[in-house]
Amino acid sequence: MTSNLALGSPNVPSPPVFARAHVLQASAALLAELKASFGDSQRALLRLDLAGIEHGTRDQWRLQRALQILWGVTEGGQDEGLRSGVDIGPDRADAAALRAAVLEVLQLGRVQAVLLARAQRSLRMISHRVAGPHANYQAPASPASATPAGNCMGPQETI
Amino acid sequence: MSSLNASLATALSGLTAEQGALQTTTNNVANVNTPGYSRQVPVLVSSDPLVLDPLTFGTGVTLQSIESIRDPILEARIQQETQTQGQLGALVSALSQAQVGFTSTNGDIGTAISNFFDSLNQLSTSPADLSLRQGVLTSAGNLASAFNVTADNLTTQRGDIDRNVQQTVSQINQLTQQIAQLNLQISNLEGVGESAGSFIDQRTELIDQLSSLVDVNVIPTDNTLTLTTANGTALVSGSQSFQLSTQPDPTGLQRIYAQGKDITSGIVSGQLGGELQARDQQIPALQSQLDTLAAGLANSFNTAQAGGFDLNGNAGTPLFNPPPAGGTGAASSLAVAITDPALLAASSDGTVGSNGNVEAMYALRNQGIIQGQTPTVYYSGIVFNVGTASANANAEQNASSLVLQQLNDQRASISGVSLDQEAANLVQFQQAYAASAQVVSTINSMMQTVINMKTS
Repeated sequence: MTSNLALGSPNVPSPPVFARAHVLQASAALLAELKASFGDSQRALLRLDLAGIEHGTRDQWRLQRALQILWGVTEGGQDEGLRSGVDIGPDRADAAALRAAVLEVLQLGRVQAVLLARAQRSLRMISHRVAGPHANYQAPASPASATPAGNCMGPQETI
Repeated sequence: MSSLNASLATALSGLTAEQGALQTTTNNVANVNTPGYSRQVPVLVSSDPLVLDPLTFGTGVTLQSIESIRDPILEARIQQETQTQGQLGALVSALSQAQVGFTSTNGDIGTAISNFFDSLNQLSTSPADLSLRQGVLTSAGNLASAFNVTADNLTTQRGDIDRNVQQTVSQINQLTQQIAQLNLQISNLEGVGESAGSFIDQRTELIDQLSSLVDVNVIPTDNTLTLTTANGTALVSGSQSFQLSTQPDPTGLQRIYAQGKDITSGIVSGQLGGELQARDQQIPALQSQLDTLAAGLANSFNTAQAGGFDLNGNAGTPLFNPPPAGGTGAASSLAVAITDPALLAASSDGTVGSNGNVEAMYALRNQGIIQGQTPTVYYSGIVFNVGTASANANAEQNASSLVLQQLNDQRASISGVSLDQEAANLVQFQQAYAASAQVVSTINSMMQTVINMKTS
């Protein structure tokens, strides 16, 4: 899910090398898109709009991959300066802005994680109600076994 | 058979009812910006008919009541979310304040630890140099000072939160008193069949305020409400409020009592819950970690000192004052025990030029002397923990604000005043009033006709 946003450098196969300024620009654009996507997801989560949540998560996953690829291909590979906003030379101001945007996205990611947990609780409550008073709330015998009909618990969940 | 007088009475009932409806609309418009106000609607019902066998005549309209539009479930959710918001607000405030002491770039413990080890490294190049020895003592003093300042700041912050606890309890008591008084007024009005909408709005507003301070359960009873904390301690029962009180425990921190019973540990939500969580859990945990680090450093360096020899060829004496048993208070009491730079035990064999022991001291930098971790890694862990706790609490607060905003919007859409709707109602009631007045005028004219018939 989106709460597990990793901004580190992934293992990507021999990518092309881009100029640092272009990477900064592209990163800023992707982060802006990611922020907007988080905004949409928050609205979907508050409405419990499952399709919207799913769409937002897919969108964020795509943007996260794009950022990972972008940040993995700067000159010199893993560019700590880009991420920390220090020692970036003539692009210092841009990098600081980028750093601020990264922190903002991280905060939005944390908020999203909290909202997802809340949505999960709400949906679980609804599923319990729908299951009715005769539902079997005991966990299945083994985690691998399928959830039986009338059992609204997930395979790992217990009350 | 119906009479002209009966028709006149029917028309008058219309005038009276529409006038009441207009008054309701006027009141709604006047309160469009009043916080917590719930839109009111007139409830009009047909008056009891008059049966004159074989016919039944209507006798007009009655304004039965004026109802406030509310959703009790939504209001309960808002109160619950307000509690969460209050708790997180207090927690975020405390953690942000604590975080500052660990993340400042100058004079923080992390920098002081690095500087201290750097000074030892320098001394190892020339172990007999008194200025380098003095440099080590200065760095050690700075390190002790950094621990003292950070620990004292945490203690001060804990004291401030403790004073806030007292203030919060006082605010809770004021609110519960006001709610109890409103309960009485609402009960009296509803007891005689009158509408208490405005008082109920005021009470709802006060319960919202109370929810931001403490965890509140609202239990509706006949014409009134009972309020308890989450663990069942009564705050308000009908027209009676139960005051909370504070008393200091042996450590000087305030405990919260309700009717003689200590309920401190049972308060988990609202601003009070957040303050207690910060005062009794978060800050003590940080203090404990700081004490562990300070005691670990002091003990390790004192042991290293004892293994070497000073410039006079004597066995080393403790560099730092020994930490208290158990380590509690080690950070605030950490102090350098020696003032003479010659007493630094840099030599491992008693000769003046030996740097064996100062190298051993420097090697502590990379040894797991604090619960298996190096001092720097352990300190980084503290900074990471306080930063993560603060960021998580912040995220929880943001999420809670979003949910609360959504709930308030929902409440506004149900209970709020729509000026468009009220304008339409105004026209509708005005037309009905004008029509009733026209009926009165017509009946008057008919009566005049009857009177003229008699006099002519």
